[in-house]
Amino acid sequence: MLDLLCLVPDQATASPHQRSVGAKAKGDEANPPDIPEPHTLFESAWKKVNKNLQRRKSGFVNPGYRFPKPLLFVGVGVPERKKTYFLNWLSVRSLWIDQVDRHPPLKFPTPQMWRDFLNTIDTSLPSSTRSASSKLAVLDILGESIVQAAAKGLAEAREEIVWRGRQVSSSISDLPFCINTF
Amino acid sequence: MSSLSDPPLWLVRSILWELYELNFRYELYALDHTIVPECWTTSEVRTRQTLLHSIFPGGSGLGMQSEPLPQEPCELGMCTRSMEVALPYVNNFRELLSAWPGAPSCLRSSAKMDGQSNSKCYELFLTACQFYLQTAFDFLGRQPSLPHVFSFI
Repeated sequence: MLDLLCLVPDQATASPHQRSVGAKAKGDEANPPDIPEPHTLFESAWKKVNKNLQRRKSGFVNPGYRFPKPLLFVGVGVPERKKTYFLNWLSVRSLWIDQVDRHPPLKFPTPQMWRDFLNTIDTSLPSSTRSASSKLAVLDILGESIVQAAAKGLAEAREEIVWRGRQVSSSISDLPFCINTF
Repeated sequence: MSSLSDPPLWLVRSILWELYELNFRYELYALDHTIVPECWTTSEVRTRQTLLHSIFPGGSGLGMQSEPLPQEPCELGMCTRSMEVALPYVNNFRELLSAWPGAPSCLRSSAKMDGQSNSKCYELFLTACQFYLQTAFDFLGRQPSLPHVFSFI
């Protein structure tokens, strides 16, 4: 039986005897182990997209990311920092999904804004720094009510977080957790 | 119970899988809302929303808020390894895209399993992917989010 996720376009449209199972597109690189495999047909189709930016139809769809890019998590080298990223995301996940569903903001955070949010906020930074400006921008997009609600949720559930019906221990007592300092 | 202090690989991959999925779903929604606003008028919104949601398994909406993690390959929709399982979701994806301006004419009709090579199904799926990603790039100006494959524990 053909494996839908192992096909590349030439195989998908080839005659049955030309197909093989488990092939990867030429030039593919292995993903880091943290990263789930991309859907092969989508990945192959992306390689054929005309990426000339002159095609861009600006101003119709905000290009920000509705949710954090997964690669932001993978790029964090320090384990404690990575834990902070996950903890911050899981703490606001449910509230943020609700907000995107019901009252989506006019614009969405850039990857750098998401990084600043996941990396926690430190308002002691001088307001003139680039980092502080970015953090204020993400606060403006996410909204103070979401951040405050998340901080409250964190305070009440510092030991356990329920994610998709599973309990995940946060064990954050050793972390300089400062999401509530927005 | 898993700990974020030393998260197991399955937990990391599952959380990241969900983020890929959320970004893909809500980008598709935003694009559809922008490209065919006439499908989201008060009188049409329920029909369009039902079609959008039918592209994905689970039945609890784009946010998957009340869904547990997938337990079986048949719960993976377009991201399963079996065309037989994926095809209903692929056809719903096709139907949604067929209303977009410039959609290839082959997206106007469903593909069916032929019991042998199922070439038409693969061609249709690939055409839908290419049309979606080109259109998404044109509107976003960056790489759209791609669906990724869930790894079972």
